[in-house]
Amino acid sequence: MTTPTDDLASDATLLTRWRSGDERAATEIVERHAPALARFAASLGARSEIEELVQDTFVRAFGSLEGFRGESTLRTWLFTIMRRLVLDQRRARARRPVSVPVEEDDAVTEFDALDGMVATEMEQKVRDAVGTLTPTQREVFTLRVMEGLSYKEIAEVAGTTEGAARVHYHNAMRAVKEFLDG
Amino acid sequence: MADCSNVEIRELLPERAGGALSAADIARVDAHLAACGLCTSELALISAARRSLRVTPSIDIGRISASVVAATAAPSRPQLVRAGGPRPAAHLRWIGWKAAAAITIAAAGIGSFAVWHSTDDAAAPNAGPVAVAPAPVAATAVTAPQPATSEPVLVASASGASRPAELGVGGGLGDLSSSDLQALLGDLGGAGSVATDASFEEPEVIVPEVGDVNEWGSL
Repeated sequence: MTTPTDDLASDATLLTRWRSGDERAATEIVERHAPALARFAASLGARSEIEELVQDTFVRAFGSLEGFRGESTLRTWLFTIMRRLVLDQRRARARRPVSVPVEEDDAVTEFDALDGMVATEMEQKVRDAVGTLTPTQREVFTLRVMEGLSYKEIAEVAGTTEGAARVHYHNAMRAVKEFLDG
Repeated sequence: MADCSNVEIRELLPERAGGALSAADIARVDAHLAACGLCTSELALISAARRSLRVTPSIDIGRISASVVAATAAPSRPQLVRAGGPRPAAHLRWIGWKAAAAITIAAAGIGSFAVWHSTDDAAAPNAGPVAVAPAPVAATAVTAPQPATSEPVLVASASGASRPAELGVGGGLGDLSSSDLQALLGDLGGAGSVATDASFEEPEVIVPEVGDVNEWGSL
């Protein structure tokens, strides 16, 4: 079983190797965190551009690694960077004066990228329930349940307080339960 | 589905589902679960959510890795400079700079020397209206007393060379009368025996010869 302590030690070792010029360490860091970042991107509503977002997140992270002081975990820091990228992307799109005609693909929910999976009925219901959450609730719920982040870490990623993160999680859990009960 | 009032245990359920609890916490949570249907249901919900959200969107990790390494392997990484010392390319560049500097200095020196001598040497055969010495040297190098007539004088170059010249500063053959020109030609013929003062003690070193002129003139 991999514990968070093991993850911290491994990340620290990889970062030390990378700082000493070992480029393979960068590859290992990408392999270690890219799947979680991709899932997080999906939870934030990203769709076709997920791979580009993951790549941009790593490029930006490695480009400013001198600013990473280890006050949070590397994964939390990566999530923070990705969230900022997604928000910047949304703002940039919002400023575009071009109106894009709505097509059938745009009407689907943000979790449609996961539709190809084989899921039990319970899993399908839960996914549908998560799809009804507000963006903030969905983000917090995903970080807490799927990625195992603490409320403190979620607060760092989402730029909010630990207490607010806790409230968002419990509201999300209640909403999912209500969806399943209904 | 209601919520259990044991908030402390509920807060641990995501970690329990993710296998990130210590053995002691696992035992504590499991003891509670054995007696609490609400928390058991919530744990089942969390586990189902983990399974449903586990599917990772399709990404090419190899391509991402390659792009990241390519984008971050820039030489601006200070660690590489500290750990490895000067890179070979930088070392070669340093040698190149030194070689270029040496060549430039040598070329400048040779060029100056050649220009200086070509100027000196060109003056004698052409006897053109050339100021052959800088003012300070000219001021001290006039070795023959200036006669009242405009007889040619010996003027020393900066290197101490003495040679016959018609030259006052700025003068030239065109300024000479035919008698002066005759006198000059006569003096040129006997230049080696022209009397000098003490400042020209080694005339054999500095008197130009035809061979010298040709040699330097070829530069």
